[in-house]
Amino acid sequence: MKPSTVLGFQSTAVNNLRRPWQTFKNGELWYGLTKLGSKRHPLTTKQGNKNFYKGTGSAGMGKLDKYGNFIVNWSKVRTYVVPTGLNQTSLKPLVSPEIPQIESRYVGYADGPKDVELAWKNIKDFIELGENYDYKDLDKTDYLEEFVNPKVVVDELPEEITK
Amino acid sequence: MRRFSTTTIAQARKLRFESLKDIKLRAPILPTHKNFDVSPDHPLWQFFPNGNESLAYRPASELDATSRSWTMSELRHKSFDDLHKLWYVNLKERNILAKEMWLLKSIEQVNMGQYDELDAKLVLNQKRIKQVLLERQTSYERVKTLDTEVKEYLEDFEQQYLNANEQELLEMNDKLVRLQYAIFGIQPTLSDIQEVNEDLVNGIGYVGRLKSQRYVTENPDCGLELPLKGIVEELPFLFKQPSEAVEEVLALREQQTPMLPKPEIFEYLTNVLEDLKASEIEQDQ
Repeated sequence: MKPSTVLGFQSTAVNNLRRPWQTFKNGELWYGLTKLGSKRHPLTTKQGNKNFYKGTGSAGMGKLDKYGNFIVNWSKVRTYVVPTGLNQTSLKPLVSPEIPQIESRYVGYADGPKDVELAWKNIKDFIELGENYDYKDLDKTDYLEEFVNPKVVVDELPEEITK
Repeated sequence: MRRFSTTTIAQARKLRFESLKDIKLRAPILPTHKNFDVSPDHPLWQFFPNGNESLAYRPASELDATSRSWTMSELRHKSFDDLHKLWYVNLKERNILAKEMWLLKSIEQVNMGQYDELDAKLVLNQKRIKQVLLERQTSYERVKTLDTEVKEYLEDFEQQYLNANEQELLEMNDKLVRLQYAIFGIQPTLSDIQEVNEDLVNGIGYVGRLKSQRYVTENPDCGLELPLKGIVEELPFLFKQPSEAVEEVLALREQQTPMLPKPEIFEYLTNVLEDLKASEIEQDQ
């Protein structure tokens, strides 16, 4: 940072009170409505000078050439990948309230489903046991699904899990 | 003042028919709704809950108020393809709702609370789908950093594979296919491989080394000297029977093909994959 004494050469008591120094001719402040409060936010589309074009990252999918023909820039054209078999799927947007909710519990995995140990264990299980390596009949466990780290000693577990 | 140009006046002259007898009259078109009925399988019917049989909008009492969103635990059980489909199912439902709410805006004294609530459930679904995918990406990236564990596991597997007897070998081969996919990202069929990257090269090297060693210890008289030299010799072991692959390698060595320099490996693999896909397309035709 530069020393404030150099930058602050304009800061006489009166000048400081008139910050920001640029104003419209009628005395209105140049930017913002107030000179108080936080100002250092990203510019919106309505701010900036004549050269500032923010856009939304959309449209602008090409340019006009000098003859007035529109040249499409295919890298900017949006593509929507619709899954195959969407019309045949039996998936519904919402779930019936009668279906019991699954409760997941992660023991010994500090970061839950994102835990690296769990992910590595899943990979090894997949190699050893095949595609349905993690199949559990949730009806029998009362819709409680547990992921217990084998490193955790069984004696240390709370009672309800060891049952 | 703007004036008519002479050409405009010339064009505006009276219409004259050559012979009125040649003009054929048809029956008048009756003004019924059938004239502008849309075909029942028009794709825009997807903006309506029951296709072409639905009304303009569902009254709030007919909306599904009891169902709940998918939970994170449920979504974690779903494959990528299922999540992709579910996203689009949600999107379509939200489009229907948005259309109905837009219509209802123009009707006074309609409470849109129920529509909003339903939409909020769908938005929650979409947020959770994104969250589940983010979790998977995070754990994928974290596993990528486990260099020593993966190396140890691969060495263990190598020992198991080399020491397996003939009955176990079948199972070990299945495991190897899964290992290729899980650790090196190699699809079970060669034509499914989309991207050539470092993992693919490492995987081909690993599988080639494994299978060739196993074959040479079983058949010491095959005349193959190990180690294999480079990707050109390793690749045949990935998708061919070891005996066929060994023959191919021996043929390559007879021709004394030089070892492929490292910078050309990616190009070589992309060419091989492209050739394979082209030949498959030819076979289909």
